[in-house]
Amino acid sequence: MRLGWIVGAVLLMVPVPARSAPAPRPRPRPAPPAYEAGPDVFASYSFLRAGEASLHGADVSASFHFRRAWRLTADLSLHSGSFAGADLTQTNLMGGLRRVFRPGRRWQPFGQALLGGSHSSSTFESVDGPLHSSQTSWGGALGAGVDYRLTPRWALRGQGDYLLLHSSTGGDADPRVSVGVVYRFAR
Amino acid sequence: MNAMIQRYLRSILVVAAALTLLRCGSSPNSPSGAGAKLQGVVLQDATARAQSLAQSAQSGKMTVTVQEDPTLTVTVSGNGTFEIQGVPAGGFTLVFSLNGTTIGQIRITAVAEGTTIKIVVKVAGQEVELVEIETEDADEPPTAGTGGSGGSGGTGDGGAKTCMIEGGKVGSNIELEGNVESGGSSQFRLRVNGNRSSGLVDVSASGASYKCNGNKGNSDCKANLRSGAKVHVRGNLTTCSTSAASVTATEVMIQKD
Repeated sequence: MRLGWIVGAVLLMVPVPARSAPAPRPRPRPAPPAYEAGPDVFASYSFLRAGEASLHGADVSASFHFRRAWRLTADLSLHSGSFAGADLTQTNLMGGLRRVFRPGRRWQPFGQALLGGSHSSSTFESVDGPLHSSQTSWGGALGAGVDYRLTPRWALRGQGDYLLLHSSTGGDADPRVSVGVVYRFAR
Repeated sequence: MNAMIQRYLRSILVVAAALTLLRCGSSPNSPSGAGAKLQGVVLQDATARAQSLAQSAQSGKMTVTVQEDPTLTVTVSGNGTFEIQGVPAGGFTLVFSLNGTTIGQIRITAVAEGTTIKIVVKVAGQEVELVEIETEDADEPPTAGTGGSGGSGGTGDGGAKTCMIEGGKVGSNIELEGNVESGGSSQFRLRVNGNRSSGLVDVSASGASYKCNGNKGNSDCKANLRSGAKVHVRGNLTTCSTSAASVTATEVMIQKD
């Protein structure tokens, strides 16, 4: 208790500067490692819940270093499946920005926002011949994922996106989950 | 400050990922409950859809409502799929609406509790046509498969010799030829040719397409369906016992007298 009073008195006697000392200047960020700054490609198995249908397919994407932890991303996914006897396919092509949160670490989470379009088609083989219907939608996707670095070049990636699409028949919000491998090129 | 922004971003990402996983495993747009489950695909004719949209200032949002329980309403997704859980066992009428305007109805009868009914519907202009219907019994593994065209949901019984129609199997597609005994274009009783059926067959044809042999303009084709008319019915056998049977037709072809 007595010690506390002494510490308090000493603190009160310390002269307070008229202006607070200037904050230390942030150190310049180190340049990202060569493989972090180079482009990467991602190939994966992908699941898409399109409307009420569960579709399976592939998702491929490429990203390029933009600035600091931001990357430009292009993403193409193709899915197919069946629902109530009809065959469904959906193709999504989008591009946008990705924010990487822990560049250079083994676990590397990221978030991304994409804009683009989607084309879906439904076909039913009736006795009178095939019936076909198709739809083009516009919108984007918000997503997040994580890379697990195996080697400087190779990584495993899991990502989830929410496709927010609008067409003449209204809006859809379809989740997509992809799991695959990433290959990073040196800058 | 930067760390705080990163924390917020991480939180948003975690929530987004959780929502994604949640949506992958469920369909929140599908009302649920007891009864049967209905899965459907709407195939829209492109030219007809353009006409429909031209008639409407709004976007072409299509909804499907169970007439007997209007709380069971779903919006057809962009790829044409929809699902309604808890449709009434026994039978129900689906009302298809585009921007709130009813464009057609389909009556589905003899629906057993716990079954899954799969339908394919074609929308052309202001008409809704049932192209395919298939029933999957909850107690049976889904091995019935797809394919064929037919009428409406059935009870999916074991297929023992309990059906008055020779070769008839509940839930399967069927083609019958005979004469109309009574009724109209939406519902009639059919006397099947020969000895194939030991009794009259109830045909629900509200969602069926009508064709008149030898009559190119089939706009008035339905009017030709009267007692005594010779017809060929293509559809799905929804119920069948030794004393009664019902078929939901997808196509009714009225033969020339």
